[in-house]
Amino acid sequence: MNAVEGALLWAAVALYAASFVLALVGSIFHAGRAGRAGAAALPSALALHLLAGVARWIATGHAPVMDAYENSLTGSWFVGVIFLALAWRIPAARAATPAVAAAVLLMLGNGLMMPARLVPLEPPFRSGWLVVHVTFAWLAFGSYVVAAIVGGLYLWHVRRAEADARRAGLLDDASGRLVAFGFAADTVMIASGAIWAHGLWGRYWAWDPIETWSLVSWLIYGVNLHLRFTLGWRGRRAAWLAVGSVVGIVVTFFGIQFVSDVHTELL
Amino acid sequence: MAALAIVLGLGSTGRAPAWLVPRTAASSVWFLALTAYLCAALVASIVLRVRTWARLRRLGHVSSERFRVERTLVMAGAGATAEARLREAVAAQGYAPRGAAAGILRASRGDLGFAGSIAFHAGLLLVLGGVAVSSLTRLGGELLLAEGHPAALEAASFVTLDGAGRLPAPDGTRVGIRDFIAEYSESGTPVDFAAVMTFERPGAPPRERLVRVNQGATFAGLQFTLQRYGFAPALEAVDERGRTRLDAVGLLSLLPPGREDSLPLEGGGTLRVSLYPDHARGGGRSVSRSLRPARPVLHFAWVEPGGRVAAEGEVAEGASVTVGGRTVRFERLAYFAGVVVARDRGLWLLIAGSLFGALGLGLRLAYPDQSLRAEWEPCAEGTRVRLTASTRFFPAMYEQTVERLVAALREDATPA
Ligand code: HEM
Repeated sequence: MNAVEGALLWAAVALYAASFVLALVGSIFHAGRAGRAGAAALPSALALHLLAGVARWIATGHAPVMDAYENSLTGSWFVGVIFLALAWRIPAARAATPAVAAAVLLMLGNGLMMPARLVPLEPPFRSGWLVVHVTFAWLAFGSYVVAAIVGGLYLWHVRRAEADARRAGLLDDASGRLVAFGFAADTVMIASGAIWAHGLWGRYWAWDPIETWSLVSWLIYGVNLHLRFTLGWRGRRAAWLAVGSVVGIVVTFFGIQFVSDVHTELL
Repeated sequence: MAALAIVLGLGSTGRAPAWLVPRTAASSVWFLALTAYLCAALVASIVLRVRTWARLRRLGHVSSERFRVERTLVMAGAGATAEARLREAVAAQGYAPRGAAAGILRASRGDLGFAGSIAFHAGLLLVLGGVAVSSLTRLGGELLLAEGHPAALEAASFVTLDGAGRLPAPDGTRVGIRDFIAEYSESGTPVDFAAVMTFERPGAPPRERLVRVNQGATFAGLQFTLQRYGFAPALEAVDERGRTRLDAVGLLSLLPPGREDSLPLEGGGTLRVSLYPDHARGGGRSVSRSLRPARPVLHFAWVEPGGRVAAEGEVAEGASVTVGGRTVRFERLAYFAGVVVARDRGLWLLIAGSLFGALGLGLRLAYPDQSLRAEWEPCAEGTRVRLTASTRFFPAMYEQTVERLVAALREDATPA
């Protein structure tokens, strides 16, 4: 990583940490000012995070989507942005700020442990499909992660005696909608990846670990949506489902790097 | 840790038990039976859902969805005026009236969402159909083509081949590559590679196509894709008795530079070779400054059948070296390319299914099934309206939508 990217990224990390601490203090001690400051720090952190990504993009000449570091950088940004969009539409979700800041920090931490060398795009990535595939992958991942966090917030909210039913209902719906949106993005991600793979490797599916896990997590979310839509699961059960399903996706996006970095090696 | 590696490695071979390796599991009988069951269930559910939907539509019936929101309000004005306003407000929210009865308005929206759900499941069927077509008709294999050495398009030329019987009957067609170029970044990593592919069929004019990674060529209904490349030095090896033991083009690994490959010698033994494309000496050893073939030098070790190294040395491109009576000649350096040849008729079904699936889900998300029933009766203040709105999904969000409708009606009404 170069100096500009490093400075921007570390400033973003500091703001995420501030957002996490302030929002947590705000919700535990019902300190309105701290909570508001925490919520306000998050968009600023995301703006700096975006600038760090742009700095890297300029330095490498390609979107930051290639190795484990770049994927953590981009993926964590999508989580934050999807949450911001949700919090803007459904203010009840803003209480999830500390959890979202923590998730972004964890993902960035994972990335920062990996080499962050500035390298040009490798041959297999030189395709128009890259943008489609990666954008939808991160939309899906971000939606699933935020759905799980909002599901967790729902569970935390309904524990309390004075829980507001309408607020709880909105959190429940928000989590379900995010799962549905994530599933649609996931579908496009897998389909575009398969079509790209045919042009690149002469086959659209080879059961490599990333393909297999993507299918497994897509099926997990398919079951999830059937339980919600077909059987009408709501409330606690649906929230636990959103929280539990995210495991498959975390394995797909982060666990696989311990087995293989890209799908199938070229060269 | 080992268990974790097995679980994470789902998809790779070798680490996990065979039944856990997806490629093996996917061709097992139980997996195929499961897929067939899935297809049957999908067809049955599509047929049932469409029939039920059509029957309700014929009867002018509005299904009451899973979650309900109920509101009562009083609108100013007599029944006919209130009804007109009600119809207008409901239509503005995209509801279409269904059936007619005095004092009752039934309306629903979200037909496109239903169509989307059906399209999505039909898309799944197309994808599964595509997978079946692929498994029955797919052809895929790899040719290793050295520059200037075309190969016959027949099974014997392939290094790997699935579906050999699906290759076109040999008609003397030869495929080859020339003018291979590889580009590297400043830090030396490969960034792009391309070549001109040649197709020669007896009796037809030769054809040429530029191919690069992600940009294949099509010939005789087959897709040709550049997959990998390496160096292809033309070598000659003559032993101490003047016998030519090797006269061929070796296909050598690209990465890392200087990696050793073995070439078999006629009559037994091997010639172990390491290529340094951009040769230099560092720390008393041969190294390569880059992958560019700027100054190719080949290090060789002549190994006789018993394993004894009979001669060892280095030879530059265009030169020959004699060590211990054995001569190795390195005539010229070229590239070879691994070209994947594939034909997959299931791909088009897969693409069509994916399009259906993605569009269907988009529609499903944008147009949820919702219905509305409004009953009205005259009262002292005007008209009393009882609204029962129902939705299949996301009730809390729907409640907000219904409140917007009520607010629109209340603009000239008083709440009850
Ligand atoms: C055995 C085969 C299947 C049957 C019988 C089936 C049936 C259904 C039905 C009846 C619904 C409508 C729910 C409602 O509106 O009440 C539905 C929804 C859904 N199904 Fe399936 N399904 C099957 C396979 C799949 C698969 C393999 C997936 C993908 C993993 C999938 C994903 C979905 C999704 C995302 C929805 C919610 C969106 C929508 O309503 O279309 N389904 N399914």
